[in-house]
Amino acid sequence: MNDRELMDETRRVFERYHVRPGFEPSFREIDRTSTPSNHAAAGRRVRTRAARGLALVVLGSLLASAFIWLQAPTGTAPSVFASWQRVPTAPDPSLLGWALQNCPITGAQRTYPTALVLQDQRGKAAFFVFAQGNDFSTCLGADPQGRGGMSKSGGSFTHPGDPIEWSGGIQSWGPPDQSWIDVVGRAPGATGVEIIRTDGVVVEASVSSPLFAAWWPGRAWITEIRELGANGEVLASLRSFPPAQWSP
Amino acid sequence: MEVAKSKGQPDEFAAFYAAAIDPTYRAVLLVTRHQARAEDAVHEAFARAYEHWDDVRIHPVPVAWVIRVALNVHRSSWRIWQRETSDPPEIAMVDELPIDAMLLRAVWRLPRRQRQVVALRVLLDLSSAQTAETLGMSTGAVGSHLHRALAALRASLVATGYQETQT
Repeated sequence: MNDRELMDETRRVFERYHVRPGFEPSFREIDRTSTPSNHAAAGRRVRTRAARGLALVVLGSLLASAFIWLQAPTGTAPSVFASWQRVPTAPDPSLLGWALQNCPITGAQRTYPTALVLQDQRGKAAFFVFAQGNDFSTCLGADPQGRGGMSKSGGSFTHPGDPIEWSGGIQSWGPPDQSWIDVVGRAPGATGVEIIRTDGVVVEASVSSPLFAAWWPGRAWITEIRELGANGEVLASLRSFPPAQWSP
Repeated sequence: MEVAKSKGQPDEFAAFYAAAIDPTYRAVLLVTRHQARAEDAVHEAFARAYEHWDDVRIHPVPVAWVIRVALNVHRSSWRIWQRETSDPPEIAMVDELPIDAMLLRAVWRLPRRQRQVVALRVLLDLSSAQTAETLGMSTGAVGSHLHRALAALRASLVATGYQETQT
């Protein structure tokens, strides 16, 4: 086999690989409602929104890839998931203490943020977000006194100028019925953030401006992320998402 | 569709995307040896190509522009663990030939620089000059890496008995 034939064969055997469907450009837009308080910003975004729409569609998957599974739990947690609420519940101080001890990522090739920004508590489990600058790390902790465990991951925001930037994916502690989806994002100027799932449930995210975070059991994916103003008005709405992916 | 008003050449971009997405993905897959990262990098690169389509469309080789961005995206994405997979993704083909699995695995296990050159020169069919410019090496180095890669592939096939069964 000469060089040309070998190159042709190499090209041929790789033709079995195709990008998975669902990522085709949709050219959907970010719907930005202009309000008196952000009129200038809205105008600026309108000029770029057509291009931004596609960028954000892909950005979700890009950031999702930054999530790295670090630690599997030692137990299972169906009862923890059963206590989940669509609206954040009061932060559990004992879980916070546990998270501060256990969530910071150590021993990695680079330093991860250790400043706690959010505790998205929902029932017996909470999703913690540590952030500094554009970097963040997250941790889902559940019921440290009983069943359950933790997962840790890290990532980075790469488009600070975008009105809504998000990262999310499916994670699991084991069998499919113990999978969950977590989302962390940045929406400068947001007073509140709502995440609308494919099953219609509206999840109210925890917000510590500019960051927001939420999680939920199961695999219902995201159809919309709404950035809300002080009076509950919709400032921005992101409606185009790549298919849910397992965090690597 | 607003894109038709603002970008002017949506059909042109769509045609480019349709033709180039899979070859680009294959090239990035070979470089990264990780399906999800390859997809992420490729999609981000095409998103940027769309944003800069007025410039990309007049590039001498638009796919070279995209592959460079994709590789840059991959490089700039920091990771806790670099978990490349040791074997290519298993996707069986109906018309699978005996050589296929051996060749795939041999290409997959080439050293990084050789994989980069094979990805661009072979899978994307870029010229030596385009490959050299994209990878930041000389055309001589491109030729050298390609020569070594092909020699290694040939040796791997021989070692696995392929040549004997074919002759």
